[in-house]
Amino acid sequence: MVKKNPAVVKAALSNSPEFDKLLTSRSVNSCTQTDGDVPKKSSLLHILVNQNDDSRVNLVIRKGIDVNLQNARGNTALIQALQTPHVAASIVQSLIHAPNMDYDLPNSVRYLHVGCDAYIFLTMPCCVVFSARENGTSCRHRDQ
Amino acid sequence: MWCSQQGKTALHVATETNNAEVVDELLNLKANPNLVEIGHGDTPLFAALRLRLHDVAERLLQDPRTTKVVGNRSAQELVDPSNAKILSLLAKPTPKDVVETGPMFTVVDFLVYLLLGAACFGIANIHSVSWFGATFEHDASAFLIPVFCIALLYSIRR
Repeated sequence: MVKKNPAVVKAALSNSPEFDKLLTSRSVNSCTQTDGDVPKKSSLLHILVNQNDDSRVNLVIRKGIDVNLQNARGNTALIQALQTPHVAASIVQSLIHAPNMDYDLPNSVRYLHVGCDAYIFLTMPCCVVFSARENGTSCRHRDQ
Repeated sequence: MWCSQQGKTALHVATETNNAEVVDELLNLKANPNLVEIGHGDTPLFAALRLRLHDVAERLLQDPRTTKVVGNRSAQELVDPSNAKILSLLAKPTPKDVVETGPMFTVVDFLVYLLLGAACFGIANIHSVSWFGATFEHDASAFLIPVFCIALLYSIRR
């Protein structure tokens, strides 16, 4: 199944005027599902920070977005804003003073790695078992 | 898949980008200045001293919560002896606790190891195993080869 970006996220990415209509308190926490200009799992806040859009950042915060959402690289919107040189100081200010902001959230992506490793380690033994079975039957066949 | 884990907080990033106003503001809003990132094992203060950002380091030192010792490293070793202002700030007394944010052995890790162990045991208990053309029949090597592979991959990851 191919994952698609929600309509709000698409509107935010293309900077279209539809965005204000699509933005509701239900859809405010939707994230990107694919890698594009922004990393996977980027929230609306990440996208708007990247676009340097001060008014929409404030709008999204007022709509009650979870300001501590982390993208696939583990960065919160605040860390991304601080890392990107072109982001305006006013955006950093509104992020710092956003309600419920967790300043001590480290940008670690631990669980993703464990998931990848587990996938390989669980599939590898299966391959071994199947290859062993196949060898067994072929040997018996040859003996007969 | 092997990309590095950084463990940086907003205070680390603001320090490294030499953003003194934001550092000041984060400290006023009670951000924790004693969290350790993974790459260098630095708190924001140690990062500032390592990168010679004395302006930011001064602001971090003016906060009474900032620790000047992390593990067996002292911040004093990173300062030029000629920099009197920072040295005088370092001489003030400090609290001691440093909270680690580095990688920890989590429940998820434990479950992964458990599953891996079960998988290896399953391999060891079938009649014979062929690895890259060689056949191992019900002996220790059938069990040890996947274990070595897993150990190798985990050591690369760490």
